Amino acid sequence: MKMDPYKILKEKFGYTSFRPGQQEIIQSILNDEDVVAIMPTGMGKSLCYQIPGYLLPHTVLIISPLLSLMQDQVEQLKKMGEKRVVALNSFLSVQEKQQLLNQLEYYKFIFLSPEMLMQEQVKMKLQNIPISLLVADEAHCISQWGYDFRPDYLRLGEWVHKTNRPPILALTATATQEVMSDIQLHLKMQEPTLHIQSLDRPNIRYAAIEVESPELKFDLISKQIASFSGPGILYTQSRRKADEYARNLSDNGIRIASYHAGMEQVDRMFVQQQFLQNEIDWVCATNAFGMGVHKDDVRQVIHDHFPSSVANYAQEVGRAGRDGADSLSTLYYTKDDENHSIFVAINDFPEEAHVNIFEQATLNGLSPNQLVSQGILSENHVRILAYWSSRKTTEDTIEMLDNLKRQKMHQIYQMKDILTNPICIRQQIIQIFGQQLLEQPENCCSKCGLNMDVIVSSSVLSARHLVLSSWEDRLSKIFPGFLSNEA
Amino acid sequence: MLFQQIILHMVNRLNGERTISAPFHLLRGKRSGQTIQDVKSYGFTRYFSLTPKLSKKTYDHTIQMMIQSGLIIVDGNSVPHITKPGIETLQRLPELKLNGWLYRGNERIFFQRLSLVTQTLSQIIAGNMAFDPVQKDEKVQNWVRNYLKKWPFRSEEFIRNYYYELKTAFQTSDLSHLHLSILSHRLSGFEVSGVTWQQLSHALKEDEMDLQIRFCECLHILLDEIYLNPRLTLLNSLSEGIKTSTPLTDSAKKTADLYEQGYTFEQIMSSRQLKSSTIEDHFVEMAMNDPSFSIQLFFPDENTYRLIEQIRNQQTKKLRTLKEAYPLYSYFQLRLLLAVGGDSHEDGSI
Repeated sequence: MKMDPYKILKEKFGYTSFRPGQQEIIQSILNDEDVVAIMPTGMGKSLCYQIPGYLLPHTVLIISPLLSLMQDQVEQLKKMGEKRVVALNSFLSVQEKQQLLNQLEYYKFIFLSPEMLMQEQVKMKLQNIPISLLVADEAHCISQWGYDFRPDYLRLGEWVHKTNRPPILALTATATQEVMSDIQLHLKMQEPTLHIQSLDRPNIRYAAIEVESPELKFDLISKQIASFSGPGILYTQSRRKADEYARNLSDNGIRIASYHAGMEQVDRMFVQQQFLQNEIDWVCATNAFGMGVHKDDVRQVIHDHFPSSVANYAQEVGRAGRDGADSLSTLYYTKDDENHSIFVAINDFPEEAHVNIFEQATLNGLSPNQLVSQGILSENHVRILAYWSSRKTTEDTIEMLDNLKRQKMHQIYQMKDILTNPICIRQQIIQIFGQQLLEQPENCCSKCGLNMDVIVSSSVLSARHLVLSSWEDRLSKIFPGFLSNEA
Repeated sequence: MLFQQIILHMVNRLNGERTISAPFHLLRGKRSGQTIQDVKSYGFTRYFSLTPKLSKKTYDHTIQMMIQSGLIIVDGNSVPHITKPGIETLQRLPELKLNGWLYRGNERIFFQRLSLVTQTLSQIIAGNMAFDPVQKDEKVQNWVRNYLKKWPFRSEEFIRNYYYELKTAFQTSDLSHLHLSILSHRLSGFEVSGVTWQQLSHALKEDEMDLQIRFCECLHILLDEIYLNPRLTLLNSLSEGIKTSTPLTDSAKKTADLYEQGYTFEQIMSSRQLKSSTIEDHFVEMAMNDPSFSIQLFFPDENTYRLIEQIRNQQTKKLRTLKEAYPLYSYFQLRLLLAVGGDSHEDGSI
């Protein structure tokens, strides 16, 4: 078989060139090497296993700890016309799972959550189908030094053998020494080839701006949106706020819609579609927005709060400038915002008292649902506690939750520190992910000196605002060309 | 306002005999004996399952607003009563062509199919098959895939027929401008984005909730039209299984089937492993919905016609009050009598 990744890139995916790093990674995989690949999020890492998938004879098995990410990748492949793609995760009913398992060998791309890999029948089935490549996506989750440690992921190591196994591709956007060596150790990788891209996104410029009051914050954000052009995403912390911003800003003539998990799924699709087709210039969203939104020309990302970690911040601002053109990321904050972010992060997080209530109630035969319906614990409490109670002792659970809480708070302090101390924002972000900044662009960030006018163009108020059409017009737009044929 | 008027309508008819949660369960389409009995006794078939996703929070908030604006009062037993301003507001309730009891929330599934088929055909015209399906539910996607496969769905002729059927159905006289405006903007296609509820609310200057009620009404009217017009072949096929074929809930249907096969009350209880109260609920449902069902079985030595007449003449449908008047009968017996005789005002009256 002639192996031509470029041909696949063009024919299957419709691109004419690779992004930095992709070609080298693909070549290593085709050479049967184990690979650790480090790339910034959103810069085309899925292509690194999708293309080999079409060149290798058998199945590609992708372990993915983030359900929403998994879903998005499945949808992307399906959209490309690939039918042999499937996701095995906890959303499936028993029957659905059984049905998929029965015909598992049919699939070219199998996505698995780490906990699925531990189920006996899944394990058995996977041992009996030929696999060409094993992909560990978001591989930093396997390391307790990573910012998003998933204990279940560790068990992947029990599953892979040292020899007689397909090559492994570990993908991540974290390059610290500890994480890298954990990945190699737990996945039992054989002298893997390292492909390390710079995690810096030089075309994104960072600004952190302190304001006196929440009212002033809104005014300044409105002003920035009115004066500098989109497309842009305004990230906020609550659904109510997202709706409010969207209403107020659209009263000011901005083409904006809100987006959050409280909206109907179809409404969310509509907002994505409007944004992709430039019918709106701004989306005002909670952190639910971004996954699955493949828009390359986002020029601005604005935050009105401190995200819960530098990793989340990097991911959200990373949605800007995927086309490589200059883009601006601005974060507005007041002195109190740090406390508010901490409150949001740990408000609904179970503490020692909750653990004890849960244990006691379970002993007395109360079901988790009863605890929620009687208002004793929140749904979130029960979800977390039910998971851990079957895996850890009470003491261990309490200790672990306490650690997690500290960690969450620490991540917010770190976030705030990076944005408010006098050091370059860019440099600090990539240091957290284990790299050093080699080159600093002009207009780097608000601390190094930033002239926004150079980075983003001034805004042009669009004349085309949402106007409802008559239903006849609307139908003939959906079915163009039939109107003239009517008798 | 429409939503509040509907709640007022229910509060008024409930006549102080139910708590404030009765309308909530009914709007959400709860399949419990009490709610189903309320549907029949108080004539609420149209509102059943009108807002299946209504949250307790939203409902409570609406009730609070209605109390604040003096439309209702809620007494210490959580029982709502309509006020004089409430009656005035209720009198402005427009006539709604809702048929919740018949469609039971399934109209939403119909719309999911409709929107996905419409989007797919629009993309086919544009020659673009790589698109994000507007409906993500895999059950709906599979259903639509099988539906389309029944026809040469890529042919221009098929798409034209589908388009004309849509146009024909949309022209039914019961659909208003508002209905069609909502419906057509909730559909999307190639380079034609749908419009969110928030955006519609902004553009039409109407409450989001009221628009969603109008949307539900629109789908009911559309479905009625489709079922009445056999020439709408493609749309009839698209509406398959949407109309409830039996008025009974699924569980009551199973009990009814066993009963028809000759099983006794006790045998049904033990074979289905259900509590007697649940089986009682099912018999009440059967009494309510099946005109040929006789309740005589549960009144061995009585003239049930006379009893039904007496119950009907009582100015209440409240069980506790009836029990005081008829202490010799069990609650179950009284519920059966109500079920058969209680269907008194399924009409436009407030």
